Amino acid sequence: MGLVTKVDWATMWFRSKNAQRERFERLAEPAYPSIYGMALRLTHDREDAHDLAQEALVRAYEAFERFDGRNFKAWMLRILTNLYINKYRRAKRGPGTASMDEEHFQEPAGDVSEIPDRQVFDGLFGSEVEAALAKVPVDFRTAVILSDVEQMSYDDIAEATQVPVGTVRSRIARGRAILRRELELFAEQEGFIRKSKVDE
Amino acid sequence: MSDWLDLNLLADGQLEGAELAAAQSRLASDPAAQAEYQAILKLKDALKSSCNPIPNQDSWQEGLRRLDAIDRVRPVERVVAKYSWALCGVVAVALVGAHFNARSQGNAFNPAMAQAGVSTGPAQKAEDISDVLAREGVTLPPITRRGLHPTNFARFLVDGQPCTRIWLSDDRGGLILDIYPGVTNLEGQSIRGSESKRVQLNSMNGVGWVGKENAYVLVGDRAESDLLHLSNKLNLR
Repeated sequence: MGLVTKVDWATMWFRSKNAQRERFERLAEPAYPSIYGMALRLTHDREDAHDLAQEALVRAYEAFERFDGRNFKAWMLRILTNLYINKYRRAKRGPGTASMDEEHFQEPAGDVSEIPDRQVFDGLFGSEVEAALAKVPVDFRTAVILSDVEQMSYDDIAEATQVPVGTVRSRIARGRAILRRELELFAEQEGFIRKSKVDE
Repeated sequence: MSDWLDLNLLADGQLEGAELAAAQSRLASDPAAQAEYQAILKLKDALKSSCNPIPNQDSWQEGLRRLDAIDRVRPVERVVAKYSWALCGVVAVALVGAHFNARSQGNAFNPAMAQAGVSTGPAQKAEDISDVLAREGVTLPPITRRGLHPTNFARFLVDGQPCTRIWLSDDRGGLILDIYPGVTNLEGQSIRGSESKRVQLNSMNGVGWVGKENAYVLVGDRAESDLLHLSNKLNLR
């Protein structure tokens, strides 16, 4: 009856669809904890993080044909960050929540040799670093997380955050400086170090 | 560019050539710069070791369910959108071919026509599919939340005889069930321990069997034993 002739087209389509879904899941499942973690660090809210991570997953699946096959996690993080910037943050940003003006942020003042970093970092736990990170304004925080937590390149961060590479450089440096200041404040409060000259 | 920014770039491996040499030279001669540089490296280490991925299995599973929903809706839309001109051409060619074929050979089976009918069938409403299943005498196993359910159907001709293709889906992906009315014999290798025949299509497994009034072929990208098990669960007339 020529059955093979009749079902070839459909089965080929059908097989490629299944294979594509399997390939996507195989790449997305190990990356998802990082995606969700990034969403949580951006939104500071479990429900928002869940929604953001889900939407990024769906967008990635719909755009999977355009994935270049290099670094899936970095690709998904770019989608998530874009989504956060274009949708979530815009919707949630009120007059009092604008991020710190980059042009007016000053680099660390004072003699850095006075700051005993070894003592600061030796006394810290993960939760304290997370808490300090949460206090860093979101633009700087995003750049620092993508660079230092997710190990993304400056070019990929620039693409994800939709800013020039030069801005990425300054955001990372300034984000780290703010984070250090927060960690030093914490260390002072906990008595790990004496009050530094930076705040005097 | 400030020295402070340079130290961050150095820590990230972003400096080259003269800039790299200048930053390294400054590090060697300036204890304050050395301390700042070490602080940046320690901060990077602290971030990397403290900010771990956060598993959330519930969120992942919910994501999979959303992908399932997309899979159920998207294929026909995507294929039609992507290949709309090609499909129009195929249908036109099939219609013209069928016309001339019918004139020259009577109502012989035309594969192109069958394919066109199969590939261009629009998505059907759930109640339409239920009607077709009832008419064809197909009763699916109880449908669970992620269990077997029909997603589409199409009609096509084999030797002038209208046949039915039903697309099914469960949590492991899609399946095709073809129903061939009046076919009483299926050629092929018998599957041990059953009355079904082995069908191999484009490296996909399939099982075929003959019922009282129809022959059936169930095809899917999964193990033959799974298809056989599933075919036994289908209650067919």
